[in-house]
Amino acid sequence: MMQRKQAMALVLAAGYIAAALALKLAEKAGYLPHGAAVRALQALTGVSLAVYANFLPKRIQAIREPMMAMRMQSVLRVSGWAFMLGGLGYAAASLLPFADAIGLAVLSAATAYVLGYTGWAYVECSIARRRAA
Amino acid sequence: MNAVFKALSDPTRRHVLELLRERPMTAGELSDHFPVSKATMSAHFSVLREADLVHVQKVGKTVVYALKLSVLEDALLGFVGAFSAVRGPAQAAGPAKLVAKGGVR
Repeated sequence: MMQRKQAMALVLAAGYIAAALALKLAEKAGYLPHGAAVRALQALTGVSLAVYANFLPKRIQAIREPMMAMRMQSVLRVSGWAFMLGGLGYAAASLLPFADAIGLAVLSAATAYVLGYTGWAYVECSIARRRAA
Repeated sequence: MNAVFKALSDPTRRHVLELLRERPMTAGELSDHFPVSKATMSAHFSVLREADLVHVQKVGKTVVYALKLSVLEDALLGFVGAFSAVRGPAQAAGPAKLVAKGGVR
């Protein structure tokens, strides 16, 4: 099962690199203007992140402590939603002017939200554990 | 994907998933929310497990269920729930309850 997952991840990574190379070659051959190739790669990166984030909440692990289990579940759900919306936003930003800046801002916001939420969940679990001890 | 649609088509199973959104729960805690037999609840849990929508963990003698929805499955659950609410609780409850209320001929 694990080997199948790793093989799938390698195939996806190879596909991503192949797509990037194809865009670069198309640009060098003059089929695509420079801006279009960069934007297409941005859209591909955003969609890839969204697809990966979709499955993030499925990575739930067995945790015996109820509080930890509850927070782990919510952190995975929040991360999945935030990175999926962030990825789609990054991809959608490729259609707008200032695509780099807007895409980066969207992804940074998603990352900051996930980090903040994870930190809060960690602190809450630590406090609950200290109280229980 | 068919298993996911089958699992989400039943209001009891959707309610189980909505309860699990709050926190992981034991089979007993979940069953307490429904006026049905343990065998029926067990069958519902089995459908959810087959669709890979719940994570099952054995802690001693108790079985703990946790949510295992992808983002799209989560969105689908919300969409189906909202659609059921628009249709009205009587229709959303399914044909069995409609027959009991005399709503289906």
